[in-house]
Amino acid sequence: MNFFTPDLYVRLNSADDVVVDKAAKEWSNANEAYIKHLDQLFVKLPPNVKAVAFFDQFHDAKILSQRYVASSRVYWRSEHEDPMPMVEHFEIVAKNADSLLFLTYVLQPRNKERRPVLQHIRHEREGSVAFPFLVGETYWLYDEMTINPEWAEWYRAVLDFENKVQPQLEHRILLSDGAELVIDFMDVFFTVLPLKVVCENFDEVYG
Amino acid sequence: MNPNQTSDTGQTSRETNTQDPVTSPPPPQYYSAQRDQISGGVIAVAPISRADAVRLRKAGIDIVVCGIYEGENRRLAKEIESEANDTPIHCYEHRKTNQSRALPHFHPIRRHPKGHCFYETNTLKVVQKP
Repeated sequence: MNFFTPDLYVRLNSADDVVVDKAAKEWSNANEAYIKHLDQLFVKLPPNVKAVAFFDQFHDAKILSQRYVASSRVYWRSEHEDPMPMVEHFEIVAKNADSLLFLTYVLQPRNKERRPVLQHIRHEREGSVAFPFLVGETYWLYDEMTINPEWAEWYRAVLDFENKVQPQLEHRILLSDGAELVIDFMDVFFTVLPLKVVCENFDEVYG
Repeated sequence: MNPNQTSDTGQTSRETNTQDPVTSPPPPQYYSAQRDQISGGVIAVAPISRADAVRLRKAGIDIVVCGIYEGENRRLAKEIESEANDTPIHCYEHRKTNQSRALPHFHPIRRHPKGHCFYETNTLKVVQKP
């Protein structure tokens, strides 16, 4: 996380009021900086990615499942007719106060020279998950959307695809168990399904 | 300071005391709360007592602490959440646009019972009931 860092979140939960005051100011500044960052991205993002980037009801959504899906389906082909590497997907299903949230990311093609396209980074202290993080049920805390400059450079250098592909996107999600998901993706499909549509008393039936 | 000593503003402390009678700010108020789906903000629904605030939080209902001072509001919100439920965690707002009015809050670390104990900051206040 570049704006809403785990360290800052930990300090917001300090027992020392002075530390919390300072962290709250830092957090407000980080939030202002993130809003500016999103404003700058606004014109560059496809509408479906924008819908994810600006969705403001992820916070505290319960993560029901995370699933990696490999697929041999060719998502798009280069004009050079080179066969594209296998396309992979990553799916998240979450539930907030009144909706089910379905996110399906089309991951970047793997490349040995690049970092993994899906990372699960643990933020641990002294070998264990420390307060305010807690292992067990996992909740969505904060997320950051950005265009990954490294990927843009890679496409320019290797495939000469500038302006011919979707922006190379990165979504970072900080979870309540202290893990940070880093998802390098080309595209995302996002569906919000009101719980009332699924079941009138969803929480009673499904817990 | 000596009562007749001149301050940086050119006033003696005695003059300052007579000209600025001590007025205590209104104490923070507790309200039952609802989320505003449009702005992401919090609507203060009805004023409640501190005891009712604790009771509502035990029942998983949102409340909000409104007041002038952010630090005081936060301290009271944390107290209420601690009294009502298990270990409270503090989440600051995650705004994505300048129009968003989301407030920071406390809730139980295990998210049971549901709901939040919101509080007003120096810049983020409750939104008006539509």
